[in-house]
Amino acid sequence: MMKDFSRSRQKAASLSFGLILIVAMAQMLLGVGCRKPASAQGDVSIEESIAPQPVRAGTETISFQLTNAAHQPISGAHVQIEGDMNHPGMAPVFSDATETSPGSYKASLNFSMGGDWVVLFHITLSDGRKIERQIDVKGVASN
Amino acid sequence: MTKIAAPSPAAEREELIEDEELLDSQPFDLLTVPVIGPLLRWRHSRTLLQIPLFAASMVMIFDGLLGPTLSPKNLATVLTWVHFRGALVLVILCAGNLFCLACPFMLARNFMRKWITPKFTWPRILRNKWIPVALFVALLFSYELFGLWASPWLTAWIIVGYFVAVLIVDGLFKHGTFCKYVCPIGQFNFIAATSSPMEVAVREPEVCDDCSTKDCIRGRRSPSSPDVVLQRGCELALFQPAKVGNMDCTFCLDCVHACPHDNVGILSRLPAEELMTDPQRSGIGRFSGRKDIAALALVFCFGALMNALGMVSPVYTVESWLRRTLHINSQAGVLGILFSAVIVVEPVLLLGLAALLTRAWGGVKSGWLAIVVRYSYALAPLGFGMWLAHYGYHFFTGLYTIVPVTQNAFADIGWPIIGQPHWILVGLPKTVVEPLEFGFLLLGLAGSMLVCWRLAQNDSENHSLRVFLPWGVLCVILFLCCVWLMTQPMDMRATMMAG
Repeated sequence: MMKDFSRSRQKAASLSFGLILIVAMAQMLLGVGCRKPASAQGDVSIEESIAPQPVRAGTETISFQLTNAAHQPISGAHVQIEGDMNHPGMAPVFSDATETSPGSYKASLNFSMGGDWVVLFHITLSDGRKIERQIDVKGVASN
Repeated sequence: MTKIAAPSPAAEREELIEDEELLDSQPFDLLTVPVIGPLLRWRHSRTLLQIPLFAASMVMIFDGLLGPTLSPKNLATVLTWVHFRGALVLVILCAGNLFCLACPFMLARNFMRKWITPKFTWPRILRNKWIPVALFVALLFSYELFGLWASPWLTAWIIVGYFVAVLIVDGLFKHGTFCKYVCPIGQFNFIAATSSPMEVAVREPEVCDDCSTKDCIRGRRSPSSPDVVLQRGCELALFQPAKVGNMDCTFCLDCVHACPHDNVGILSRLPAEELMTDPQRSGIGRFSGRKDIAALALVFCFGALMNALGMVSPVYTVESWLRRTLHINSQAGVLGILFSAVIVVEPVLLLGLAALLTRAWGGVKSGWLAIVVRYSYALAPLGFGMWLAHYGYHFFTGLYTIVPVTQNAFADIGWPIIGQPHWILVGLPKTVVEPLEFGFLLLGLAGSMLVCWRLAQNDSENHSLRVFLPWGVLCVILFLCCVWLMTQPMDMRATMMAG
């Protein structure tokens, strides 16, 4: 009797475990389509350029313009730029952008090695809103 | 003229005795160390070690599928490609194959086997290493082709795929089929652990001579109900008294728990010692008769070069040249040519030439292929040195990245209990890590040279130096290739065709 009870408990535990696993996997599959986007653009757009081209390892200048939905320049934003290798475990690089003219910003970023990079713009608008933007900088050449 | 012949059992015993005399007669036994020893001898020690890695796997799957898409900020990619790989090779270097001991996939399998009893035996034709060798190459190829390090999503699915594969294979087939005949990570660990300083081995061979139950391989069943297994024996068919070295040993410690005489320990030994002789090995046979394991050793060595080559600048120059010259626009095509060149053509040419010179200069009478097979194993330490240098580099330079990535994972689920991520935490400076890399490579070179020398001594008493020379030169050439690779500027691109 004791053995039967134990066996039924084992079966119930097994079924529960299997069910949880299936539900979790299904959620993960579905969840992929609902992942949080890397950049929240809202009504702010950013147009960036990196010079000189082609991009090489070392310090490069990133210029960008921030505009609102009416294509008007956005002034007074604080923008921190973060560069990450696409390989985990590498040191990220950071830089603060300065506004050179209304809505135009410039920053120097040190691409410390060759390879594929991702540049993140952490933007804090003058009204306190926070926006993130991500661009891929592929194939930074080694020196 | 000397012909490579299998030594007689008496000669083998004499050789082993000589080897033992060179070393301390009382090897260090990890199982006698306070705290660690009793913990490992505890029947549930493996489960205890597996649970944290299983939990980590679940977290990695979760974060890989649902967490940040940026690889350096995701636990799946950071833990897999920085911490797991690095810790694995360092633990193998310092102790032994302890990662197989704590394998999370086996925890899931053991759980499954409480209810599912496999019915089939693995087909005889597949009882070799060809499938895992192919999977190992496929894994290295996919790593470059799909830029696995850059994709948390793919990394998570690899982990999921691994769990599924383990459950299917070991759900259908008896014993440790997945570990012995399928698992590419396991084979990597097995061949790397030939250079480990410890092995699971018999303490006193004389005790085994008098043993009638052979529990270390048979296991123990309930006397009243023979279907009930009280303690498993070795699932990988390694009979302790005839076991040599770490090949195929998962350090599961089933033999330690099964031995009624408490005669199995985790003993110290000379690293790579098992590669210097060619005795009959339980569950394996003679290395000289196993072309599949020799192929594994070669893929292990030359795969290390290919894996590192994929991360430095010159590979893109070669790739561009191949694309222009052969008019190939397929990434897989270009990568296939590179892989074939490094993992097939290069070893065939280098080892073939060394074997021909061994015959010509050293007077060794054996066939070309037999010599290649015999000396392939000698390259395992050098390959291990290269894996150590490469994985060790990522491990040490990215050591602390686990902190901000974990902080970020908690913050992402709205529970920032360990603070906001400190992205400036990275790892040890390159100035500290680079000397370590060269140290690992030198260690590998020394190991391979030593194995070559011992094999050459066994092959020809009179012309040992002549037999050794081609293999010694080959080791130095490969070592210089490794050094050159490690001094190239890093250039990590998820797509080789980029730029």
